[in-house]
Amino acid sequence: MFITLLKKELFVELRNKEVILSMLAFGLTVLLIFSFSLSGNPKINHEIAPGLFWSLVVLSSSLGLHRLFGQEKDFDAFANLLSAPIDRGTLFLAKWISGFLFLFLIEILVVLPFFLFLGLSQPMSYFPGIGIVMLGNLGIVAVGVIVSGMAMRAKMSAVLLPVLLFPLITPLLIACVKATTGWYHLIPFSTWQFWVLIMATYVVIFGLAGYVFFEHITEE
Amino acid sequence: MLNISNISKSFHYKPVLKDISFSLSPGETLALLGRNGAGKSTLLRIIAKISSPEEGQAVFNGNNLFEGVAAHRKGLYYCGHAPGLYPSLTASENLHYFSALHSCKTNPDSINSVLKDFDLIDAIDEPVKVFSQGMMQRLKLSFLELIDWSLLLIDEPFNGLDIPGQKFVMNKMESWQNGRRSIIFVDHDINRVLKISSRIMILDKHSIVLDDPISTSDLENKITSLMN
Repeated sequence: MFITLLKKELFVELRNKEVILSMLAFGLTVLLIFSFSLSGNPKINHEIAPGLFWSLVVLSSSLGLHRLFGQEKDFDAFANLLSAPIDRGTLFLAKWISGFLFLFLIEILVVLPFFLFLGLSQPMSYFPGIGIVMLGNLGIVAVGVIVSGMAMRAKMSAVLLPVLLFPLITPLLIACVKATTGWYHLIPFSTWQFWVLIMATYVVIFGLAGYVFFEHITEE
Repeated sequence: MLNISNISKSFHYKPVLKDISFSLSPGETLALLGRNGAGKSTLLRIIAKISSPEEGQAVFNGNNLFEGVAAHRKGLYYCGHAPGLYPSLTASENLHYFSALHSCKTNPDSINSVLKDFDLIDAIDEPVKVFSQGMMQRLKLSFLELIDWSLLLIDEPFNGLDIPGQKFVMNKMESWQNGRRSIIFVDHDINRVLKISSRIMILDKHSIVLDDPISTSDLENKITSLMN
């Protein structure tokens, strides 16, 4: 059933490109603003690059997360999903993984302009960075799907989502920035492994919470 | 088949349903009547596990629906007021996807035949967002020909349909009734309700004020006086 739900999520998004295009357009605009507002000094840009990257990710993701349930909301397809004999935890997993894939795709698309526009040097190794980004994405989207599921039925869901999302993911974002800084600035892993552990803890806690409590979160 | 006991629900401290209890046997078609805001749609949404009650139980085929076990909802199909479809998917994609969610396999032939039956074959590859309200209503009902169901909860099935469409759905509802299935539907047309249901229930002020089989004498007058 998970595969059926995930395939539908990807198929609907490929048909609409609603989440991906809005995140991409927003991400590139933010990047352009960053590149024009910064001093142009590569040293300073190198120092603050991890913070800029995660600012870009979180701003773009909030836009995408708001539309994550958009297709279900428009014609109340969500009611049919909830009444169907499918586990609601599986619904959460499908939304989580599809949201993660959309966000990761956006990051792949903006990472090259990010390095080019800010005049940044290429990292020494890519794999630890990819791991950090994937872990951060999983955490952000897990919290995002929970909050988006809660806010979906609210009249002011567009306002409610960022108001609930940003405070909840702030500790995760700090960990993401610290871990990315450690990797990008070639600091030994032992000094920033603590932040990776925090990220992993976030993913496990919110992933489990979403899986277990999605049943109650989504009911009226 | 379905046993509802002591269901109560309120929204923002305003009661919507108070202590609702009734049972439904296989083969029964129950029409739910009542004024706007009486709680008819909410009751259907609670049974479908879309909304949660503050109190009460719903037992379907011996299983408590409110335990949160997905398998307990097998055989139950909810057809709400809204289309309940994915606007960007086509008619056939929606049918295929929602049938899969009910563990029913479809093939292009079965989908084509159902869409032909429901006069939607010309719109098979059109996204649902361009459908008229009547077309969406027919598409929503066409699922019932593809999935295996035993309890249908349907909120205003004649909404948005023209006269031939209404007759078509009335015939379909009669044909779906094979003695093993049960239907609970919400409607506002007393004459139509008297034709297709086997039992009538009226909700007023959040409680059941009438629950009689169709054979009850002077039922039409009773309904009219309660509805007015």
